Amino acid sequence: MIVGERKPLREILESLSPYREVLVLGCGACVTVCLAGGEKEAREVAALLRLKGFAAEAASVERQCEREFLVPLREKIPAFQAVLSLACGVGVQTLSEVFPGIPVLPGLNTSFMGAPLAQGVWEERCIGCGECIVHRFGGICPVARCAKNLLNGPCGGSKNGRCEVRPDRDCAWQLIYDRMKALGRLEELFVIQPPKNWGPSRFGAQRKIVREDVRR
Amino acid sequence: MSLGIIGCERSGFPALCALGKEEPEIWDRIVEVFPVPCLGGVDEETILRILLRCDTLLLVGCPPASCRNAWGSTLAEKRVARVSQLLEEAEIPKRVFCVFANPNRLGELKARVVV
Amino acid sequence: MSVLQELLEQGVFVVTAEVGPPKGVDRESIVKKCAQIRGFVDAVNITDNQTAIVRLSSFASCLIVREAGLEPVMQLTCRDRNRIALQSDFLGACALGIENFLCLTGDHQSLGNHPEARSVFDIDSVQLLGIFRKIRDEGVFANGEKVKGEVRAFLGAGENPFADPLEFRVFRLAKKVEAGAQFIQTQAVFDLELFSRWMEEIRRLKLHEKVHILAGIIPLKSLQALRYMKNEVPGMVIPAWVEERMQNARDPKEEGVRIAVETIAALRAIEGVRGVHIMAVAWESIVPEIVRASGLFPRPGQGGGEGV
Repeated sequence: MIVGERKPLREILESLSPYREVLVLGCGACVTVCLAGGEKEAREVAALLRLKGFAAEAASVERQCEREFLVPLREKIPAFQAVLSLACGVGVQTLSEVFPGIPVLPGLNTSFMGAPLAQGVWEERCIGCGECIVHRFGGICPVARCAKNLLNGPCGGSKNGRCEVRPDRDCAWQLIYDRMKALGRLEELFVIQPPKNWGPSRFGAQRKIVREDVRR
Repeated sequence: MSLGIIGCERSGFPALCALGKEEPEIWDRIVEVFPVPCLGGVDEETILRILLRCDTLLLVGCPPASCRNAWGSTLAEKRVARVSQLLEEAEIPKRVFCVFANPNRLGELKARVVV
Repeated sequence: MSVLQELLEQGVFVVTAEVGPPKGVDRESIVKKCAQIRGFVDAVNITDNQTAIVRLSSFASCLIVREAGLEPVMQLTCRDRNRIALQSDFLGACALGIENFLCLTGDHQSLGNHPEARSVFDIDSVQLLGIFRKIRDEGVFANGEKVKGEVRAFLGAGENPFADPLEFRVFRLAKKVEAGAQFIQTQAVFDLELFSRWMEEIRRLKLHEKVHILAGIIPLKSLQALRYMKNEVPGMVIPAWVEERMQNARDPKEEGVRIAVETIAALRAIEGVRGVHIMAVAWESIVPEIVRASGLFPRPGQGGGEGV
């Protein structure tokens, strides 16, 4: 899922300072799961804004990234001067597209595609490279989890299973090594992985998927 | 300084009533009173809403070890801590506290309420 | 053929050193460091924005080194440049007569002085070796297109025998050799026992016959320097006895040199070690003393010059 965190309140308050009537819009998908922007969080932020003198109201939709869930807000929106979206970056932009006439401020900093490790702990797992090769590494993605996205890792900075970048960060290659060893597939790591084709990734040309077979 | 009180039916609310009999002046400062079945049922949004109508809000309930619902008071403590942090971050000059009291244990409540 | 390659193939126990470029345009500092070590080394490495700190580029520094009469080894990392820039720099360096290249992954930018920068890491060091080798041996770029003209290059890589997972390090080296590494410079050796075991594994796989291994040496200037390395530099293993000796030393610098010389002597006795790579960071002036005390002076074909 997409994982993000609420922006610092000071930043939110500053961005809302030109306005009084604000709609705080939550999203029922990823940001609910990572406890950052769901209905509960939207209500809390709206209540906080009211304490700061804003005329704030909270609402939430199933998913802010889909027009069909936003269109019903058409009647509600004109009553407000701005919308504080607690959705991920996708939701914020979709909201802006569907309601171009009203300022939409992001209330979250969207970070990564990841998974919960425990309640309150989320970690990145996928960077959307567009060409999944995790099976070559025992199901652990070096593109997302190695700080240098090495395909022929590890680098010389791996120590005690930790990455040189941060002591609390696992060395993905230690994890890969351990996993492949346990699976009895260590020799597969002796094969030289060729340079990655970054074309399908965010560094490439086009990031759009069209499924003709399901289009109306 | 206007006070709001949320008191659990089992301990907090009875404690407030007992204190009120002892020191009736407290009623001059208390502007909101909410009896609730258990402090564990009070969420952050509720706390923030009530704070619109008072400067300081007290969640008064059973000491954690004797909460009838086991975690009610503990949950309340966590939520109060969270709200306190949000208030600080947003620079809102209001306070919220958890107070553990019952009619035989009024010390803490008295300290928070009586000037 | 590069001088370094020639010497190694002749079976000479080589000495290379490292020079860090300045954090500015002061070419004189490079010239000065070269003067200090000229005659005592066979080739000198120029680091490439090491620890992600911006310095005068390795490429430009190599030219300055060559002008100063020494044989440069150009270090390239994958952190700051993609395959387009790396191939381009390779062509540029070869066109200007630089013949030795060390292909490295690169320290992460968060450790350096511009931690907000993005990293590139389009390819890794193994892939980089493969691409350079392809240009040299097959005359084609990474995409298969022809390269105009012939390229002469002696390709090397780094390896850290002390990083984790320890058991995997030998196989990683094997990958680099397969990809095209002709020489290896290792991270600084303090723990001879660990290093010997690594070399044992290398020999078991007969890798020592396929690649020239140069063991790294860092002369310790002080106890502080030791502690810094132990705690801040990724992949350094410094055994307790080294720390003890430096702590109890009357003259830490002297002790540091003594330890370096002892280590070199021990390394020479290990089968498969074909030379040493002296990384006297910010202490290049000590190189002549170490080389002399190790009985490695004069260097072949350099007529015994005096270090300044």
